Amino acid sequence: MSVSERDSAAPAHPAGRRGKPRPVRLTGAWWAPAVGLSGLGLISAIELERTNAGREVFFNVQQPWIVYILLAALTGLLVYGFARHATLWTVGKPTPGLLREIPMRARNALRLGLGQEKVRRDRYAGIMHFCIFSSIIVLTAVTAQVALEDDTPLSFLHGDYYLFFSFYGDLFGLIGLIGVGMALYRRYFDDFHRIRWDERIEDHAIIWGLGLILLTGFGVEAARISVTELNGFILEDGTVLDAHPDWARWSFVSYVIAEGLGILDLTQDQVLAGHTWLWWIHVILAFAWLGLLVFTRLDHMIFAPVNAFLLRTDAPGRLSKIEDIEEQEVFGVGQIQDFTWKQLFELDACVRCGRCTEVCPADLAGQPLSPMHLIQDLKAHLASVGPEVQRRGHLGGDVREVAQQELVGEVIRDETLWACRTCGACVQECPVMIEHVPTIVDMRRYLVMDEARVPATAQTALENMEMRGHPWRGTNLTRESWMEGFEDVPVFDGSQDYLYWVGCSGSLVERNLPVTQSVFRLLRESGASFGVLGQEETCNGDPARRLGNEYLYQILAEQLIETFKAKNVQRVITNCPHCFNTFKNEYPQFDGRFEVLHHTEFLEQALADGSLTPKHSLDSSVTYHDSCYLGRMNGVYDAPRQIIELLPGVDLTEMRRSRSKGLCCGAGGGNMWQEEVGERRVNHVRTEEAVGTGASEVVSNCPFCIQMFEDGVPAIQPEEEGRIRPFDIAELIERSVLGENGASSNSTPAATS
Amino acid sequence: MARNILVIGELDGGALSSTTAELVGGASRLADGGQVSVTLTGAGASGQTDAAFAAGADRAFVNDDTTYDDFRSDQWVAAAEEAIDQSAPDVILIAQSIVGRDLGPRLAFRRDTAVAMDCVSIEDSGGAFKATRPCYGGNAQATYAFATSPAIATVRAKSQEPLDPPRDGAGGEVVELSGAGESRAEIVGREAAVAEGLQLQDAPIVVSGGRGLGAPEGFEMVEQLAEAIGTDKAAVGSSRAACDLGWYPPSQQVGLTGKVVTPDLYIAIAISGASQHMAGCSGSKTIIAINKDPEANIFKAARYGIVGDYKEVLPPLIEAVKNLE
Amino acid sequence: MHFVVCAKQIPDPETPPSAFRIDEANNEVIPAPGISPVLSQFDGMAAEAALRIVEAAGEGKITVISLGQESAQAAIKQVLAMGADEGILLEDDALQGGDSYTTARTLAAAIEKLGDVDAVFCGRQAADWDMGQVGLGLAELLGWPSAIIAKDVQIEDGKLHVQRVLADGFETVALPLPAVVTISNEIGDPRYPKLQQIMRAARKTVNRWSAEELGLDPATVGDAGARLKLERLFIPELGGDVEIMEGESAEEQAQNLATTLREAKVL
Repeated sequence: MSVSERDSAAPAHPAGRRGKPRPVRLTGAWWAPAVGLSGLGLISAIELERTNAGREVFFNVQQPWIVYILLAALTGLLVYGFARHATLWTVGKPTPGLLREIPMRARNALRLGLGQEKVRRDRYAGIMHFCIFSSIIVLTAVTAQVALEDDTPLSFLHGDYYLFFSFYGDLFGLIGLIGVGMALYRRYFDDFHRIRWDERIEDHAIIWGLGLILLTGFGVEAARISVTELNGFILEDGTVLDAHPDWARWSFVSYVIAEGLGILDLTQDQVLAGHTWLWWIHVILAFAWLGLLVFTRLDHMIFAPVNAFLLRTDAPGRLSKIEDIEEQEVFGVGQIQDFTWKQLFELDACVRCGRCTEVCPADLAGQPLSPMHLIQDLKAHLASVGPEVQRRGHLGGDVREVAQQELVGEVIRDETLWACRTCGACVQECPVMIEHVPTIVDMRRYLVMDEARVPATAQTALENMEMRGHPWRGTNLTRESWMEGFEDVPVFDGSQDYLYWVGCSGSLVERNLPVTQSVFRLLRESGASFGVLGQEETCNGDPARRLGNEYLYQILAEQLIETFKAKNVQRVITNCPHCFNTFKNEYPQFDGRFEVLHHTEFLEQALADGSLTPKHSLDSSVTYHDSCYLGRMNGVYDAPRQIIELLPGVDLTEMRRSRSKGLCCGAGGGNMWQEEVGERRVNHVRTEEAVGTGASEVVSNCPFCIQMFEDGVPAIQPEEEGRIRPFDIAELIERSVLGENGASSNSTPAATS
Repeated sequence: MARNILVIGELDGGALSSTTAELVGGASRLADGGQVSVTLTGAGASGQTDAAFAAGADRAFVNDDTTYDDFRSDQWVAAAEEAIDQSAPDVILIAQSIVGRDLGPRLAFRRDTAVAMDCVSIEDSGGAFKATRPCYGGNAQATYAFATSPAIATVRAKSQEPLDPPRDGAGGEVVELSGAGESRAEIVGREAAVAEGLQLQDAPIVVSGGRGLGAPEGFEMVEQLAEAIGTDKAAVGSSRAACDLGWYPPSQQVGLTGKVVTPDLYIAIAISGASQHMAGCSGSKTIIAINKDPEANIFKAARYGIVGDYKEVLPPLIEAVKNLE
Repeated sequence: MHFVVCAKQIPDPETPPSAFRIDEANNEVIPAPGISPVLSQFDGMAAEAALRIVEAAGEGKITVISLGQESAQAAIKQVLAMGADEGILLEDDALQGGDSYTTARTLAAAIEKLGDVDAVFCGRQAADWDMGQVGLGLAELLGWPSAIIAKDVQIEDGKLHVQRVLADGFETVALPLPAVVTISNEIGDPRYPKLQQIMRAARKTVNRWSAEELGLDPATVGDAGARLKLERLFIPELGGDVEIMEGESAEEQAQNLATTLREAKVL
């Protein structure tokens, strides 16, 4: 097969998490019981006398119009409250591009907001939340229908629909109570749960309030049923309401309660009095509870779907470009008003659920970063200085002079910002679509470019990139050291299909050289037409960008894009997921558009189409570590696993955290070049998980991950005997395709186009 | 060709320093019949003339004055100039020490001539005096000839052999130097680096331990080796892994994220030689590896090695090093 | 207060040994391909020392001077980005080459031309030739006091208080101004420049002075004036492969190692 054919067959990889379809277990299942039960109810209802089914809405309630005063008060409160919130958001800078890609944004709002795709990543919380959420939606609709029936000329709550209405009203009341029960269990009985990391009184108020509203709702309904539909009732105007227990049964929960009331042997007057009381309690509670929208995290009901709409539509691995960087007065975010208003808005969406912190590699290792607390600290800071900044800005004053606690350094400490791996686990998990990583990097930018406060070792890496074109200090190797022993390394001259981009680690870090050589031998074996740049490679700038030096990044990126264009580079195969992400997602910001493949993707294709044949059985048990920038940031989860499946004699055991839930090796976000501060090192945590699978090899495809494992394994397994061994997936493939000593057999002549 | 040589001598605790003895020995070979003079300044200087003569000097310029116990270049330059005026040397040798680093260039510029610093070899090449010295961080060596006279060289310790056997009982001329003059520099404070010891980066020899030591106690043996070599020369380093385990202070970490050292001699004990670590020590001129794993990466970078358990190798090595003195 | 920082651009000392080549015919280092020259690290530290004094005093001017070729502008800009005020490049064919003597002589002429200099800060040595004599040569030519290998420098009562590194500790020396001081790595890494300053430095014009402007006779500077004549530049034989100590027992191996090290003059 010729190379170009295989090429066109290679699927353009879908960007990001929206990539490969995953089995969606729960979406449909949610509605199934409700729809099914309703259907059954309808069928059985056909047999009943139902034409006149209906109810007298306020049969026992005096001055029901007070409800409208409450409604007006609530509306006023909500308008005032959200206006106050909005005032704070407007302190931020304009957010570019929010009105682009409206259909995608609308889909996000539906899928992530209404559909709660992220919420369901915690299954228990997903069920609980859906119970409560669906119950509130349906019961609000129920209440609205009651209001319409009574206070407008519309009349529809009778007959079949009334019975159905009674049924689903009760059903979702019950579903809501189940949700409340689950929430109460988690809050009070589930030990050491993340939702208590930042627990506030409002959290108790919200859940107890909702529970009471639902319970009183059933109480009101049961009392009404007991008086009217079970026993018949004569209204003050003389209207006779006949007993209709067959109607009552549709309100299946309330009906059971009403029947239960019978045991108490209450008089009709007592039941009526109870009904009145419960009705008012129910109504006042409901309005009060909705009032919490203004003061508490209940506001996520509105902000979460809106934030889903505002969510970025481009690749998650892309950081924003500072346009006209040389013209800027402030670099990155040094004060609260330097954020975009979208970044400020999402602070309000945070519900303190702790999912971000629960998966944060830094926090797992006891290092000084908790994304949840970072967001909450920013939110509190906005609340404290926002109004003054807003007032000054309004008057045309210098907002930078507003006496502020230093945002970067005091509110958010330097070491917190440096502990971030930019692994995106927090962003991945956040149920309200907060994007922590860009926010953190924005503050790093200020730290590095405005304040020049950089940890010494990271400074060295930055200086090396600037002076030497690579981040590695004191390397003994050159960019061509790996070529020793190969006589036929083709230099890329624009005529080949692919540029094989070796990268700084692949050429300058000893451990990564064999990986580069493996990839090279496999590319050669596959017959692909490719070349390398050798000494002409320079750092593409990724570490500088992650470390916050956007200026240096832009210089390096623009230089390299120029080189690529001059050499007519069209397609690039990278060794490193970070290079991959940068070329693929970030270079387009600088008009550098190339087709980019990670070697994992290329090799998977080559194995699938037969240009590489695994011959040797490896007799090996492996576990696969998803690198953040190939996995979470670019959605390449399946290719490496398909490779492992294709290799004979290789047994894959997944770690507890894998695929989109994979844990960073600890090196991301420039942490490869920093001393870690904290109880443990992230790579030790991750190595422990790899060791825990019992596999004999941990396979990855990122030079940093490999180095971090090489470093972590001896710490976790002090005995050399039986240690897990870290390998790049290319090394694994090479062993199977070319044999242990890498001798090429049946080598096909290189196809050139 | 006979040439007169002047050695700027130094006292170490009142006694002729070993490096001065080496320089005088080297000078006596290089003089080729010329006269070897030495300056001896500082407390106890007059008592060291015989030692200087035994080491190979013919004449000693002496000033037994505590003023010279502290190095102030103005005073040392004045003393050296006086000796130069009286001995008319063709070559002046000074140790590459705190004194020599300062005095060498000062003297060269004062006398309108040139100095080659940190020489590892001084030789008579067809009648011309030549000095060879490392440069480019040890990557290269350069040999110089001098266009002016006298030629001055500061010489690295241990690069010259003292006379063996010494000329015991040999006499020589003793010349008193006039009193120490003024110094523009005033010493206003002093701080002994007892706690910190020799700085890792400055130490000509670094002895490092790694995770292979197995326990923090392993560093005691590493420290003993450093002590045997001499605490003025050898500092103790550690790999990052060992620092992370809390076995040794982070200030002593050698590696990519620790200190980058370029000593003359780097002794890596139970260190596997991960690239992280090698980044911090690969500039060392000579690396010695002691490791029980013959496949350890460190052997690739090492010049000399012992394959074996450090617990068995170090005790005899410490003894052997002590016996070298 | 007006301080001068002397900055030298050198071949990158972190050039991997495998890429380090010498043209033995011409006694020159062959620049490694793709590796740009850099500011000698100790000179960056000298700039750091001067900047700390200016910051502590709240006033003062720093002029950075480099003797070199056109490319040395980058070294000057780097110090300007750290916070220095003016840059001067001493660039002239007559000034190229030479040794520590001609370098010191040229720099001294520039400092005299500036006229009002209170102190000069140099790195303890340039990380290419590792000589460490230009600072002292300047002091001698200018007739100023000096202190070398400093880890801290402050101004107290109009004097330069220099904490210098000794073999067994530190010593603080007070020098009357004007004076010369050379800075060692104990002072710590030079600061990371702020972006605003990098961009300001990029826009700043670097002055150029020729031998003539400095009033120097071309015969006394550059190659012509050099007093140390480089006869040979070579890569020393390092022996190459590891030599594993022979020996029946650990004792014997240890003894062999000690003997070998002594013979090789490394111990």
